[in-house]
Amino acid sequence: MKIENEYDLDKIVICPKCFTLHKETPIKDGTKALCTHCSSVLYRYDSNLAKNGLALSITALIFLVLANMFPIVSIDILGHEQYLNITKTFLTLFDSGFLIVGFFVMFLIFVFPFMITILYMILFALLYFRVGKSLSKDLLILISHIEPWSMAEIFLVSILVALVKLIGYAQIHMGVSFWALIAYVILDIYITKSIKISEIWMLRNRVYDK
Amino acid sequence: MAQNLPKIEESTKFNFFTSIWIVPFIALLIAGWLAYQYYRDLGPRITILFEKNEGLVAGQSYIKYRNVPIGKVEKITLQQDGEGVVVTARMDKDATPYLNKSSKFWIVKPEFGLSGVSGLDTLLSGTYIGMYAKKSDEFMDNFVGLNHPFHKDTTKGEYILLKTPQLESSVKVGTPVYFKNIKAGQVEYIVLDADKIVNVVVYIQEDYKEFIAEDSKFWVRSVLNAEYNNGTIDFNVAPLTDILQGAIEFSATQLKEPKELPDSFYFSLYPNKSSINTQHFVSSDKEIKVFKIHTKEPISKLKVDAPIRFQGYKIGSVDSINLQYDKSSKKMSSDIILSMDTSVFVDPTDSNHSGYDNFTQAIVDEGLRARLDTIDPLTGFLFINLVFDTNVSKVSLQKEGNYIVLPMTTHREKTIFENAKSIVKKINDLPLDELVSSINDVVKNTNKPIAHADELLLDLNKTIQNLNRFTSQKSFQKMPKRTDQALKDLSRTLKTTQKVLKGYDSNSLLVKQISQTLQVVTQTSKEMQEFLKMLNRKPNSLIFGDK
Amino acid sequence: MIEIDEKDLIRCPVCNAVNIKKGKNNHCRRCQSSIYKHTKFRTEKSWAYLITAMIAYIPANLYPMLITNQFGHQEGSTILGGVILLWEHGSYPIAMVIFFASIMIPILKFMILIYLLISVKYPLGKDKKINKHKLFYLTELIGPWSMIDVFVVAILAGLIHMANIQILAGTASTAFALSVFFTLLSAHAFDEQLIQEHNRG
Repeated sequence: MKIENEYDLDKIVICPKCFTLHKETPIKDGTKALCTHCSSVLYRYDSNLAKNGLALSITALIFLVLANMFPIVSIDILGHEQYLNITKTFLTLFDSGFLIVGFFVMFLIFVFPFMITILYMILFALLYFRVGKSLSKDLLILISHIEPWSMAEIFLVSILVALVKLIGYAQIHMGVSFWALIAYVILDIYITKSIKISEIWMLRNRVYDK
Repeated sequence: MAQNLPKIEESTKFNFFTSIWIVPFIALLIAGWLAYQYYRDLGPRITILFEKNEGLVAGQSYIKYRNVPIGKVEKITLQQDGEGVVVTARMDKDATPYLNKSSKFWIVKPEFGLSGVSGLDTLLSGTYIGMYAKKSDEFMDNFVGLNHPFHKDTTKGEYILLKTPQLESSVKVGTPVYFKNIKAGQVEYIVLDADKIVNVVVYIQEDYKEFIAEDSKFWVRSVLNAEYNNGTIDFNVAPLTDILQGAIEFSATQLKEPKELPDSFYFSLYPNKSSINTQHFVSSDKEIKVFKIHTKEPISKLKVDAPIRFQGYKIGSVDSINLQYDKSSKKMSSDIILSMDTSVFVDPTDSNHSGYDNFTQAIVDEGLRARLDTIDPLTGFLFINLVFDTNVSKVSLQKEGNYIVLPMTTHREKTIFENAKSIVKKINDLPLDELVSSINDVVKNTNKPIAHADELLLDLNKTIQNLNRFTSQKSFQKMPKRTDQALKDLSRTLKTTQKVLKGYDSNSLLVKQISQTLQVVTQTSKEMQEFLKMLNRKPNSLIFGDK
Repeated sequence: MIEIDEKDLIRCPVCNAVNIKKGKNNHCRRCQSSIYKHTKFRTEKSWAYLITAMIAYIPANLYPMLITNQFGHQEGSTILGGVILLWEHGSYPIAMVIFFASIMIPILKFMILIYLLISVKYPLGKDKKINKHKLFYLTELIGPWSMIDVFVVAILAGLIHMANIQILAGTASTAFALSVFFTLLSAHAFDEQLIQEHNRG
């Protein structure tokens, strides 16, 4: 295969599943490119990506903040009311001396989700306003590293699991934060999974090369 | 070598309404509305000053009005001058009308009442702050907390004054006052007056006022009662509530038409029920005199405060004992100072002579002597018995300094048989046939007149020798040891209960001890039983069960 | 003009750009993330993490996961202990589910990773290249969900926290969290392309 220089490599795309080579052709707004061999998605083009991404990540941030401010759930146990919010989970662990577990929980369900959401928000803002070329690259790299460690959706499921245990013993009332958390998780899943990192790289190329 | 061209397809593009910006906008609306709701429902913040923090936890403890939570403790800090504890709490919005001059706050700890356990929920929910108030428009947000729970009907009950020279250690502020085992009031204040007498002010609720008149008696319920009656020892341990809080009880008046108590009337607070003399002496004006006794008899078993009895009635007590070694007799010689109420010797038919006069005359002319007797053969403690000794001649009263010296006697003729009877009873429990039959003879013979004293004495000597033979046997020697052991155990229990009493603020030591006791109590509560059963059986079911 | 063999092209896993394989230090042109150094012991990191995870798994099962504290009386329960208790009480399906989720799945992950790591050096199941990718994908997908156990402990400990009845985390929770953590690291450190590479080469 002959190419001019390394930058010609930009014009090729390798399918992540079956590793077939494709030529990257520009596509119209609202379409997606599929692999000829295994039909998995190679890339999409959505002109609104930055705008949508920004709006959604702002919303996600608002919901995440709400989810941390109010109690997730309150239970009525033996006549005594107890409630729980996100910070209480790891603070209780710290209090009982379980620093390691406490740190794990704190990072996985508090620090990292916040970081990811904020980073995405800044990133989309940069792309939308077409500024900060190198910063956007750094952000993108940082996001790729943190992303697998943000476990808000797993936490949500574990809340449900814990509540199912307590059903027999106590009366359970879902708090505001629970619904806020659900809203956050939905948005978070969309932003991190549905909007592929590769697309953002491609967007970045488009944005800064114009 | 060939590069493939990707297929192109329509992407399912989500058309976000008219503009994507609606979404964050909606989110902001929701957030704003929630914040608004939160601040709107936020009640006022108040501070309460307490003497000390008795188990309140910042961020957790509640303030309850009629058992309904209406506020929560935010933080607990020391007062600037270190004289108290400032509790900052956030109240519910609808608590505002109740925060005014009439508001009273107190700390509720686990309490144990006679008629069951109350405040058990504090063990679950933790100590909380109780509150009482009347509605008012004048809002206040700084309060001073009370030291003990507030009772609504302060205005209608009555305060009664009790006096005692020595306060039982179990009685303190808050100690409940019972009437027929129902709580009728509690101790409000304890002060020492100028005569060094302890004044205890109790508050009695309205409903129970009618039972109190001049002839009612107030006494402290004993934590531990040991009574030696007729060869058996009765031990009584008071219920846990008494041990913790102390208890005072009073008896109903027997008067048909009880008069109202005069203003400065006071009752004596007896240290225990048995010290109440139910028999009345004619005179009620005390005449306390101090006397002295010299003796070389062994008095190690005579304790300070030992009673002075006359014909069984306690009329005084030993104040102090001074010991000195007497070289010539090689014994410890002692001076016993005692005080007595000689007013008991007043003869109502003879108003010219005071009780004291009669008493001294009895000593001089009639052979009234002091004698060291054993209270009970088991402990061996001594008391001073005033008896008439017919074998003595007239004496004159001797004085030493300010004290009248009471002559002593060691003549114990009559008491030989009393001693024999009590020993006999104890020995009767021993499976010793020979001894029993010979003793039975002795017992039968005591019914004969004293004329045969010599014969009986001989028999008794035989018995006593037999007794001595058996007392040297192991089984008998063990008995006093066992009782000794029992007494040791008792004193240990007493000491720990004393510790419990002293350490009565809700620190973990008390709670842990209570908790062990409550293991049984909690089983009676069905709800808890269920929950704890589940916790015990499937502790992991909380994580993994019912998945 | 540069002549490259198609087979020398590598896709950067972070940013999707196409790169030329360069031997030892391969950094992506676009995002500079290293496309895994081709050192002698390329699976070294992955093995190290995996072994740590497995070692941490042992105390996770021996020590109690949850401790219930009633009136000062403490009672702990391990994962296995809980399963046995449930089994003895007749809740067979629940016991099975817990056994599967908290015990089988971590062990399964260990086995899959061991299998994949070994298959880099020694050919195992040559023809099943795609299945191996699927396996790896499965491991990466399920991996984080094992943290549910830890979260549930945290939630319960934070929730049931009254004056005298409390739930506390047990030592096993730390060990279990570490075990899951290192399993995840091990999976991340594992170069997926090593599977493909071996079979290609």
